Amino acid sequence: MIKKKIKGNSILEVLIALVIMTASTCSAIMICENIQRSNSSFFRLKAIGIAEDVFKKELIDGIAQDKIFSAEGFKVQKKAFRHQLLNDCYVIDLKIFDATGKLLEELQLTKREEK
Amino acid sequence: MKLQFLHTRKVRGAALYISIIVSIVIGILLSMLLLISRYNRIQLSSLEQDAQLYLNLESGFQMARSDYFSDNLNDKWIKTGRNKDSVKIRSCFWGAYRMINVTTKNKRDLLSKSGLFGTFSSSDTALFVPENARPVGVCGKINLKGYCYLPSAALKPMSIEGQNYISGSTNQMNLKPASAALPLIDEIFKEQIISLKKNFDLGNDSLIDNLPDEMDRSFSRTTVSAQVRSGTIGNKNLLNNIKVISAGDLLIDNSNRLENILIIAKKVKFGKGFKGTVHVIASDSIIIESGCELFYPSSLVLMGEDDAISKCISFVGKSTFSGGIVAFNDEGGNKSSVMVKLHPESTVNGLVFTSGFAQAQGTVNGTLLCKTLITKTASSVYENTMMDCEIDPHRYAQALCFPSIFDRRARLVCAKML
Repeated sequence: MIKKKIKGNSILEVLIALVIMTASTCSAIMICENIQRSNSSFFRLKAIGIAEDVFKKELIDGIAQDKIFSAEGFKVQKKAFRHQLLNDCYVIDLKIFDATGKLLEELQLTKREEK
Repeated sequence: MKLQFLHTRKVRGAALYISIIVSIVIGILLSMLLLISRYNRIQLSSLEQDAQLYLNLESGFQMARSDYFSDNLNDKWIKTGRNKDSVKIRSCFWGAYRMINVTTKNKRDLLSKSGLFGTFSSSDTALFVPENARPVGVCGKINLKGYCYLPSAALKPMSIEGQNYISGSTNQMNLKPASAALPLIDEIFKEQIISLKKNFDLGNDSLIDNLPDEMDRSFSRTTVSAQVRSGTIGNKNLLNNIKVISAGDLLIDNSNRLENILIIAKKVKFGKGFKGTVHVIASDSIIIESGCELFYPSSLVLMGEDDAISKCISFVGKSTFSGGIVAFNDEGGNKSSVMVKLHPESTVNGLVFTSGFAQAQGTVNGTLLCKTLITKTASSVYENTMMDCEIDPHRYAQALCFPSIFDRRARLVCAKML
């Protein structure tokens, strides 16, 4: 009974299995990394919140001038330029960057210049 | 036997099967992760677009307040913001207030918001009567707070039908010399009121024959214009963007529920106990019976056409009005046949402007501007006189917004979002 042959896997089968497992593991790692990277969505959400706060303040007592400042660990770049059609309005372009300098959000608002 | 069978069966290819099964499991898990991630990205992208759309709405209101915002841009799509977003601004007078509707769209969504706009209320001017070289006679209980721009002859206590002048305990008036003329009404305001009175706006109005019993029309859509005959309007539940037009006289009784409705007629009378927010443009008279409450921001505009007949906005009994009352002549402020007649028990919160006469009585929590003050009693009429009147511009100055009728470049502020 013990002497009887037990047939195992051929080298080809093992190789194919190895290739499949490697491919699936690699893709799993790539996808996980990608998803981890897209975890920046949390920071982008935060960036939208910061932009909304900045615009609220801007509507109350904003001045049409370029400015770079930091808020809650993000770099905020404000650019103001004259509206093309309405001379007493200016467009505020707000860009928010993370600590590595990657652009997270860009939002715009038009505001009437208070005299 | 059993053991022998186990050892002798074929186990060839097991590694391949196992690896395929494991790969499928990993694949399923990964697809789920991918799906969640994609869903998350779509949500985030939609949130970003929504944030920009809301900013576009605010931008639209800011643009509508611009001095350079002209008819060429009115009701036209204007490119704004990023991602080829567009904004459409519709600005027109709704009674004495300005209605601004902003619609914005991107490739995915469309948002709309409307509001009634006016200008800052005057927190310090109580009364303005232009220079006419005669003193203003005061009689009964007079309580004026803030600046009173009066003729150089100032005030003169007098007695009318046995009633003497009693200065209010909190009388804090600050007399100032008035200029020779009333502030001029903006020509654009006049033009738009004339246009509202005379024509249907074919581009923005949807004409209907019968006034429906119930309707709520958004300001982002075309205005429903209902032509009605003279008579009584009752049991109607009408809200927002609806214009009721009549060439004759209308009686609005207290069975109606009207919110932000525009009524254009020759003569409009609000029956006893009516409550609502209405904007009225009349050419003959507006009568407010006792027990009425016209909520903020309401407006009454009387635009006289024929100088031969006297036109009047009249408060008959104890009523409350919040908003703006404007009475003027088509010809300008010179032919003063219009009159605003307040009642001793009436309360007006807001602006009262008349290019003609004003019977200043009761309480005005705001500003009163008139060419001539007048007091009518049962037996006679006293010109340049006021009786039993309290004017306090401070009380609701922070909460109220006046119709912007003098200066089109005045900063517009929101009276109410609709």
